[in-house]
Amino acid sequence: MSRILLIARREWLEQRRQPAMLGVIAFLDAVIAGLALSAMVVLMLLDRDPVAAQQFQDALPGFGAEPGQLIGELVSTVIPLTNWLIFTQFLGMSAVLAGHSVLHDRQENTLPFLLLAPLRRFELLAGKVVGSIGMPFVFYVIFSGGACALIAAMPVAAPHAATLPPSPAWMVAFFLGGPAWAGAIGAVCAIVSTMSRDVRTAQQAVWLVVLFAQFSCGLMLTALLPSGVLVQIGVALAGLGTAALTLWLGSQVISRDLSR
Amino acid sequence: MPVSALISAQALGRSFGKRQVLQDVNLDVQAGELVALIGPNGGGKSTLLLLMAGLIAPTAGKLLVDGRDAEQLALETTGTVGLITARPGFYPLLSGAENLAFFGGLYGLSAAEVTAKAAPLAEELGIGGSLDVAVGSYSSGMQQKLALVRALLMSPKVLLLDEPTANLDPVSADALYRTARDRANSGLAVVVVSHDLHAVEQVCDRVAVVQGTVVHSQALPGEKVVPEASGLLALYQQHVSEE
Repeated sequence: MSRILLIARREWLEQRRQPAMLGVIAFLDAVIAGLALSAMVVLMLLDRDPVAAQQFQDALPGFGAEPGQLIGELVSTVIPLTNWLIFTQFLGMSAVLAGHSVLHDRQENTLPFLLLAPLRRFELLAGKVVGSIGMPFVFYVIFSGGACALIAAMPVAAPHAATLPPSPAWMVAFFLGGPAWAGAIGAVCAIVSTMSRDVRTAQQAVWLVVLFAQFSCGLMLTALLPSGVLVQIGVALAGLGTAALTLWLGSQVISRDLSR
Repeated sequence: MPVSALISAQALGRSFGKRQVLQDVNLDVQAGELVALIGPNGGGKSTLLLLMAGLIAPTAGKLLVDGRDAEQLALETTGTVGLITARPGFYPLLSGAENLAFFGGLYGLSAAEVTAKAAPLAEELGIGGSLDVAVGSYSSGMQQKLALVRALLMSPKVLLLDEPTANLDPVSADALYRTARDRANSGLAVVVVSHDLHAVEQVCDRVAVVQGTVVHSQALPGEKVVPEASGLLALYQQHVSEE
């Protein structure tokens, strides 16, 4: 465990000295949070003003909503979309960092010295995955968590309280399910990083993984939110199990032989 | 009484796909011996060194380091082998001290233990004042000296150097060879891959010519000293200040 944290801490130390990269991650999270909040504020203001709401509905003929229901339908779209975006972006950011992690060591020629040390392959991969999740998690909590908390405080979001904080299902999904599945996706990408010999191959492979992650893990985390806390605990445990299994498989597949 | 070799290659072979890089290599290196591997590019010198480090596996024969299988030793080691490669291998955004603390930590050393061990070595090599600076701003020579500090951090029994003086100025190269010679004198088995035949002749006890196998091995007579007394080096040092 100590070597896993040692590797993760080194990753974080290096990332902290890459302000531009951290800025991009923070900016992306802030943009999603800002768009979601802006949309919800507009819907909340419209909801408070029946005349404006009617004018808004009149301006969108054929949208499909029954009279007087457009605001509610838009809220029902914005909240799941926000949850999906915050989960998928967190998964994607972690995956991209993990997908470059071991390759970075190969490029800097630090890999031989990691392999020379008494470091198990599982520890190397797990340390890289934890190191890849850490910084995106900080921004995910600050921006995404903050935006969702503000949205939850809006009266117009009240019918969706079960899929927003502080509902137990959302809390489990946000603090456990998201990181667990980020770990699972990160583990796949860390293995990709181990096997890649060049940045382009790693990037394309990671993009492939991220695409599937968005349409599987991201949708699962979002779609199952209304199913309650027990289901979310199950989703989180499945994520942790998948992460552990993937890391174990990776430790069996990757070779200590530097040439492979 | 026969002395058991710290490194023993026995009918060693390694191929990459269909390309046989090394075959039937037999080579022993004793404690206290400094052996140079010389030969043409692509001859298998670096491959032999990586085999000795346990970083690649042999496809034939076996390689024992300190009496144990080299690859297995790499899994179990607590620092039997110290390695220096032509590209030193550090995290450029981290300082020298942070890099050493990280690599020392992998061997279970605390930051304080790393500092206690590394500081005298770094001072000896002239980079003591630069340990808090990001490695990315180090010169090639400083990086190689830091690599030497890392390699010696765990007090290894075997020191492997792969073209350690490539891209180094004469003073840095001299300091590196001097340290390697000192360590051999203090009982380490040292193997160096080098194209610098002049330094090899002056510093090493034995030379092995590697071209697909060890085609020739012979002792190098004479007192083994680093080129401190060399008139040309003295002249260089007189006119060029060290970093």
